[in-house]
Amino acid sequence: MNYSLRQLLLVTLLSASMLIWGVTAFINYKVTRDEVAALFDAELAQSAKVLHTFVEGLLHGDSLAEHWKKNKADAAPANSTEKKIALQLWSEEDSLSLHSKKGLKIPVNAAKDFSGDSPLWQIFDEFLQTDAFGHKYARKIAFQLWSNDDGLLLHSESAPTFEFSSSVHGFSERKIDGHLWHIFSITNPNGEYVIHVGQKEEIRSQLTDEISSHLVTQFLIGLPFLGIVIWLIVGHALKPINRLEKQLAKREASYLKPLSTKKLPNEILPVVNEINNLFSQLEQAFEHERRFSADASHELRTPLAGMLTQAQVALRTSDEEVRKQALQRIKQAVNRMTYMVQQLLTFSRIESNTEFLSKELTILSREVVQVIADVEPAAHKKRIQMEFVEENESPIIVNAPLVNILIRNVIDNAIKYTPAQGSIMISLTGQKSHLQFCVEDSGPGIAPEQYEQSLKRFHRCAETVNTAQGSGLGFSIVQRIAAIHGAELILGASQYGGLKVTILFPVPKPQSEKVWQKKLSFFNSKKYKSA
Amino acid sequence: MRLLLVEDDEILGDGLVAGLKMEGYAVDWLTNGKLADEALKINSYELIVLDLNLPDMDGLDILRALRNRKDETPVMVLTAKDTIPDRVLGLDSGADDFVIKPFELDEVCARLRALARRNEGRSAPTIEYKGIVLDPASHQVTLNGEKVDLSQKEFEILSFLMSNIGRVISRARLEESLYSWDSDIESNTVEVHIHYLRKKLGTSIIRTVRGVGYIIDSEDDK
Repeated sequence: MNYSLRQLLLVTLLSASMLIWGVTAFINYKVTRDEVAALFDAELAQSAKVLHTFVEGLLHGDSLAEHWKKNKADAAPANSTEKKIALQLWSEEDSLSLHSKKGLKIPVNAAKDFSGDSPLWQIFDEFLQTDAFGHKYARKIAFQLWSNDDGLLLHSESAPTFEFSSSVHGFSERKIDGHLWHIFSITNPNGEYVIHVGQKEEIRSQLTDEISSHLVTQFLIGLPFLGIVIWLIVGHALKPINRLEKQLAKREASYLKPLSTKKLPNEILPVVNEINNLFSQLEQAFEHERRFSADASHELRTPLAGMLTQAQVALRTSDEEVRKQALQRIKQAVNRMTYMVQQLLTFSRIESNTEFLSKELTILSREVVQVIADVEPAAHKKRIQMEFVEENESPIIVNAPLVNILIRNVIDNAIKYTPAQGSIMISLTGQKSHLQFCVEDSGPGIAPEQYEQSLKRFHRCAETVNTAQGSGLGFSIVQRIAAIHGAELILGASQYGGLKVTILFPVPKPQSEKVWQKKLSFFNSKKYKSA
Repeated sequence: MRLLLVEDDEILGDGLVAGLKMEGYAVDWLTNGKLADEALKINSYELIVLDLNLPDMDGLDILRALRNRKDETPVMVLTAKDTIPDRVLGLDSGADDFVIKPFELDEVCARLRALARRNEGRSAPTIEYKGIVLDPASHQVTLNGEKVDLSQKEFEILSFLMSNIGRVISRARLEESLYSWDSDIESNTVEVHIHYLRKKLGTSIIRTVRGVGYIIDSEDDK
């Protein structure tokens, strides 16, 4: 299935960042909640303590009461001091609504303790009137002052009239009207009264929720931007691939020059290198093909020109003898071209699909005998003495039809170049690691310095070019088939004065024979089925 | 007209020899580059037809050697290689014409005539002299508009002399241009042909230079 790298990266990167963000956000939420709880707890305790100190001062510390009375005269500064205390107390809780104006339930004896005009309440009132009620947390914080003897002395508006908590000291939690309260209680050292300071759970959750929702909105706003940025970055990073694609799309099939590796990232470089590798191999193959077809057409043009010329001579001449000879020549040329085309076809057939050749254990002498039987008449015509010797032969693993072509070419060649009444010696000798197929003739042979040249395609020896009608492909075919089988082709001088062609076929090792056979039978059966 | 053919392919060479002989050329055929090179050093030819793909040496080398000897004989190259670089290389090596295999015999003959013509310094396809019109392509000769029947050898001698008006052509040179190596030359054949030519075209047309050869005088000399 095909997919877009860009889309894949976008989706996976976005999902991954969302996941990572989600996990960190959750952990953050937890941590924040705990931190907020700890902070609020500390504040609660602090508030309770401050209130306690304050109330303690009011109830027992004469100094404070006196201070208040004393300062009643010069109202302004005292006012501000008291305000400060109240502020300090209440600002801890972000200002409280204190139930002081309407239905202030201060027990009589408690009220006695305060001076009649109760400056504290005034301070509270003034302060509360200013901005305390407006605050969103106001109703969620409360306090109570319980006297052991007289019950509830003082409480904020938000506080219930029953005792907040059964606990007299430390933290506790209680559910009132479906709301969870965190309460910190403190008892004065004499045990005269208890102060409960309560805080609704909502304050905490509201704060944590708010922080979390801030985070979420930030992320949700940031997400599309992140997406765009990823899209652009990935697009930029993939630019070399686009360039490559354009470069390749512009190419024609025959243009196989390597792709530019300039400015390529290390990840794509090996791919391009491999493509270039393939290109150069293809180009070599193409070049090979080109040269082959050029050579082949060249080789076919000369006999064609000969035929055409002879045909024109036959058409023009009035001499019956000349016409007859020209027609004879045309026939000869057609035969030669037929042979050549056949050889060309054989050659191109073995040049292509050699990888899928099936090979099997073959007794080579059977093939040799078959070929000799086929070509004997031609040799007999020239009164050539042909002999076949065979010793220590072991079967080898080859493609029999191809090896048959090889043997035929070598022996054909020998017959072609051996003069009448010459002799040809064919031998098959088993050696340790090789099976040696050898053909010697009494023909003109080839000079050692010409060996290499004579193996080239379409090469024909200058001395024999007109006596033997070859295609110039025989040795190329032999060489190719030998190469396919890992065999070695050696040219040398024959003891009969002519050419000695030796081909060394590798003999499979005995122990590996079974494996080979197994492999082969598997391969063959598969091939057979597919065929 | 004596022509050297260098072609290694037996059937093509044989066909060309037959075809060119029909055109009246005296053809020497060699299948071997080295022999051709040697032959060109010794003999003189009016035309050379050279195959480039020879088994023992490159035809172009023969051509270069020929030109290095300041031999201006027109050379027609036969080749199976039809790419432009091949042709350029051939022409630059001194070839006068290029024929790609396979070819029409007629075309080869026409091109050879053109080469000969150019070598003789004329561009008109026919040669005219005192009412005699000789057409090398059709092998026809007319005298004052009337067709004159000539044998092939007579035509060749007349053609050779008319191509070299104002120059004495030795008897040996005439013989050389008439006969290739393989034909027997009787000592008096040239005289016999001249005799018949004079009979058919008028005695004054070919002048004998005693002990040297024959000449057709240029028109303004008289």
